[in-house]
Amino acid sequence: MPEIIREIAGGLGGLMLKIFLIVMPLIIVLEWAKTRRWFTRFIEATNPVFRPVGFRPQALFPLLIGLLFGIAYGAGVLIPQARSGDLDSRQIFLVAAFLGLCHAIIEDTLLFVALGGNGWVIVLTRFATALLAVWALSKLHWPAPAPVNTTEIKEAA
Amino acid sequence: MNIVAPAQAPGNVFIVGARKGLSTYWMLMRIMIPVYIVVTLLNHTPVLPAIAHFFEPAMRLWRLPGEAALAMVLGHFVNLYAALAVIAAGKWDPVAVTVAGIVLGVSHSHLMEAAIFRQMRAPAASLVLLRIVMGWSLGWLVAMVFPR
Repeated sequence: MPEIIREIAGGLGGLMLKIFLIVMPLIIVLEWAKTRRWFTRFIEATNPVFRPVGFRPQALFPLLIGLLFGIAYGAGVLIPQARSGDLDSRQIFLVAAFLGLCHAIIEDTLLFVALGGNGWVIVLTRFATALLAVWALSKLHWPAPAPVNTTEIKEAA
Repeated sequence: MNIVAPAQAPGNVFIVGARKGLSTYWMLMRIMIPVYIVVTLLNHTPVLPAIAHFFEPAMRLWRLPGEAALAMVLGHFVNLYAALAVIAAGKWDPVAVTVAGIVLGVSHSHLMEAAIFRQMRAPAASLVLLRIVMGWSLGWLVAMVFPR
């Protein structure tokens, strides 16, 4: 029994520290970057890939962070944006669907490459599927947009 | 593009960012800590190996060895590292590792990641279902078309 407790405490401590060290700087940098013109240009540069499938520019930062680092980090960037009304429920759903299918592509892929898997097949299949799925979902208009929860927005403000 | 926020005093953005960062961190931890504990405890029970045993015969459809069932169940319920430990111990051929990489890449850590979807206010159950269906269909497709 004490062994389980030690395992949980050790693993949890590492996880909490790692997420803190990544999420805090990312959110601070996002706040600052949003006031810079180069950031707008960078986001625009990724637009040709992501806009046709239904993403709006505001969704791209959490999308790219989640795609490269992992879903928790993408969520970390997305949550304050969602609370401030920068992203509607539709965009949140599309980001969540994309990241659900395709996130942390560097780390996840290298883990399987290390065991002899074909990294390109893994990355390209995941990425193409996520784009296609989001495109299909945005065309289907499913699920219907949820009403905006104003109490939560007030709470965050 | 309304992504550029209205002009603020330069020091301000860091304070606002730090405050947003802390509240977001708390929001993530509030859900990730209990889920992490539940998942670790679950991994110490015989529940997951029992589920895996049931799915062993089906693994052949994906050109995977029977022991892949345990990797898949651990990957779905616990995390990728638990699954990788099984795969690493098994000396699989590259096609099997690639297929497992696709299935598990798309569909893994559902207890934890569904909790994160909920914090994002996205429909977690639908998204988990989407990931499972897409992961296994893609894995099957790649297993079928991949040359030996």
